[in-house]
Amino acid sequence: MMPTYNTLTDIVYGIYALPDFAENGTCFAARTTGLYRSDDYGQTWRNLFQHLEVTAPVVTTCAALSPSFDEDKTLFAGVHGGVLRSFDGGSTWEMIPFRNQSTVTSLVISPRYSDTGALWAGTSEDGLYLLNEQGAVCRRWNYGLFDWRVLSLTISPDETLYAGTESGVYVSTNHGGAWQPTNFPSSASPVLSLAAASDNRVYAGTEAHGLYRSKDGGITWTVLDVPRNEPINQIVVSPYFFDDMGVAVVYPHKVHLYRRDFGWMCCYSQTDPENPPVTCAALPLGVERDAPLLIGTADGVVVNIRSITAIRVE
Amino acid sequence: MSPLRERVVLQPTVHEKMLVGINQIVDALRPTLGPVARGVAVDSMMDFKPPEILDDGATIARRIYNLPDRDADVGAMLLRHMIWRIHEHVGDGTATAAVLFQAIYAEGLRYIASGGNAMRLSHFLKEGLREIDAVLAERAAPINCKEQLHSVAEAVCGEPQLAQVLAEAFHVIGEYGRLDVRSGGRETRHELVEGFYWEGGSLSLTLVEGHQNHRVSLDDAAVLISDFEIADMRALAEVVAQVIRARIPSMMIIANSLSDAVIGFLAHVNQQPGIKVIAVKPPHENIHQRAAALCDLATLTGGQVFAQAAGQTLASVKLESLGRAKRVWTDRLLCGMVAGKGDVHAVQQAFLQMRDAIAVEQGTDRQQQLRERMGRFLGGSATLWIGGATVPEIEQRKTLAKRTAETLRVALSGGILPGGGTCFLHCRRMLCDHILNAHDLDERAAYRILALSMQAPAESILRNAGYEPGAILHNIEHDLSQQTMFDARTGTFSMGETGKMYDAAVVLREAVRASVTSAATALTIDVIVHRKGYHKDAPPQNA
Repeated sequence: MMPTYNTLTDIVYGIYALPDFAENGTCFAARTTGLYRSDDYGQTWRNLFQHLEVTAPVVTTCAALSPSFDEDKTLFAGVHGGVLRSFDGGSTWEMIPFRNQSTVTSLVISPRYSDTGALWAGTSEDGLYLLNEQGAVCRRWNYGLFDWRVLSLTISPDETLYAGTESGVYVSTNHGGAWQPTNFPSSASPVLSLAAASDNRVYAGTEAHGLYRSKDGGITWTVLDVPRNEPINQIVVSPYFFDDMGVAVVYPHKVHLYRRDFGWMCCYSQTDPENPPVTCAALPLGVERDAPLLIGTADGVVVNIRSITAIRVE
Repeated sequence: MSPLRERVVLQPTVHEKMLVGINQIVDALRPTLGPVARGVAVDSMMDFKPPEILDDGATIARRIYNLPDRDADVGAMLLRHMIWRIHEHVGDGTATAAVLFQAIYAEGLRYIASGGNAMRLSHFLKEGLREIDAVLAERAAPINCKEQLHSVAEAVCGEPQLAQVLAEAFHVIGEYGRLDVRSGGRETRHELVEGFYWEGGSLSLTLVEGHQNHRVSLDDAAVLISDFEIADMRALAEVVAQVIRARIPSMMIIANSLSDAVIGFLAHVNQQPGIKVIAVKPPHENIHQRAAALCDLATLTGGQVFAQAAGQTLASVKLESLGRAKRVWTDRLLCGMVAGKGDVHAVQQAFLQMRDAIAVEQGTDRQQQLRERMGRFLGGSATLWIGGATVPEIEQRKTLAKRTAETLRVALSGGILPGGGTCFLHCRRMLCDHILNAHDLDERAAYRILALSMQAPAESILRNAGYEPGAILHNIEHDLSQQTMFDARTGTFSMGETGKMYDAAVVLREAVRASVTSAATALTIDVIVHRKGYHKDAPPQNA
């Protein structure tokens, strides 16, 4: 089936689909002009910031949805200088300002957000901010984090945090209270993307040294046999990783998928190098033949590949 | 003072009297063991001062330095020396070691009196120690949650609130983080402080007056790291001019002193737009520690140290040799910085080198210095505000908090073991197997003595809490899963992780190691020789 397009006018930094995407088609996209929401599988989008009284577009570099979004309608958007918070699905917003006007590069929310109310924001020069009580309490805290240039952030199902920086990967096992450097080879840095899955697996995507994987929570790292000369813009882990071990790796001009039973495959490729690069992806229903794959590009296009056609990567 | 003659003491007086002295020390320490412990009142040397109420085994033993019976005094001082060595090495576990020592020595004497060979017994006791240490090392587990930290802290300090606050602080700062214990108001709480700071504060009140609480905080600062005594205003002006030309909005000058003219110059600079300057003292009074601290600051900020002793002057200061930091601050007493902009790899490398060095360092002072340096690199610290109703109470709780903090560090580095003497009870099965397998009489006796003595700490804890140990110890030992513990505070058994009590593994291993080796050595003492001297009517001022 041909992919459908909805052209937007800015870079797509991240796509976030709800767990029940298959039923209601709701997803969000963080982009240069704001945070957008679609309720029809990516066909049409509306800017959730259009009612904000601002003189310039609100560049939204990342977002995070509450794991129980259906009940609490809570979502957060990372913007320059802080995080915007909404408790009504994006209708109204409140700013949580950070000091030093830092740029938020990544947001992760606790898997137990309904109990803890915790989320974490990585910034380009200010390290990490810990937000508690659903964002009401916010403090910068970088204990043990030698490198404050945080490019990527991820959290595992057991709430172990990983931060990808210009110089390597750091891990925190106490909800961001303290960080320790992992044994990620610093020569492979910077770490542009991270994704953590169950069973202590962590994937780290670099700028020019390929994809690394750890099976022991960051203690040891192995470089995987995938292309190494391109930056890895994003890594997405399947929501059903325990069953399919599905992983999507987003390169500038292609997206590779991995699945347990048939290895690596290329499911999207731009043949024309002049096309705007691919920046992000989302796997709302895992890595299955009929499962959709949402792809964002640098010119605001969101492609909904409704049915993954796999080309095995040799 | 009356003169004393040389005297040679032989058996059986040696054993009898040494045991008397040892018993006196141990009986003074035994009440302090466990969560339901009692205090020990130590008479003051000054008539007008009240007695000290102590609960720390090492301090109590230290106060006993001269028993009237010289023969008993030998045994007492032997034990006292062992206790203080443990205190200096790991900071805790002295009462545990004392009761273990007494049990081993007393049982050992009985065996020797029945015809056993003291030297062979000593040899086999030390062999048995290796087995016990191996079991404890295998069972030691790393701390993996705040609740375990709380359990270790409460076992040391006996105060749930203080233990909770310490556990929360150490859950963040970890083994190497800096913890400052300060007097607070009524409430005991902890505070996490970003960056690092040192005592000294501003070099001149003129530079901080007018600000709230005399505290000045500046963002994006250049940092001049030196030990200069700056008197030349013109030379400093050139450095400041370089910073202004580079459009850096603020500057921190670290120097030993500033002349009045220089202070006046800086005060004038602060009134102009474009740059704000603070001047602070370098960390530490001690020359060597100061030099290390300045080097650390240079690494953290990417700057260079300018030292008078190296012949450097302000004229050699260039813009590129200044450090940079996201934020610097100072008040009257303290100064600090947040997020130095030094090379990340250099910072990480320096931290790892210090971490490796601390692992091999034996002296606690040197370890403390390395830890303080590592704390600077970690980018944060915790301050513990100790509250209390009166000043003496606060001071006592501060001492307790510092002691507990040291034990927590030891626990974080060496792991934890089941507390309440339970881990020693778990060693008895292995020791009983050795008894059955031993062919040599002395060997069998050694393992029997060790097996008996392993019950001593738990027995003391239970008796202190008012329980008869027999049935309780039986329940604990005969649980094959080794999960059963008895909480002497509540009088309840617990299984699994809930309600489990922990002690620092290093402390327990050191206690058993010191007690067994010291007792084994003490059992081989056959003769005491008293030296010529004087009867010490008045004990020395400083023990």
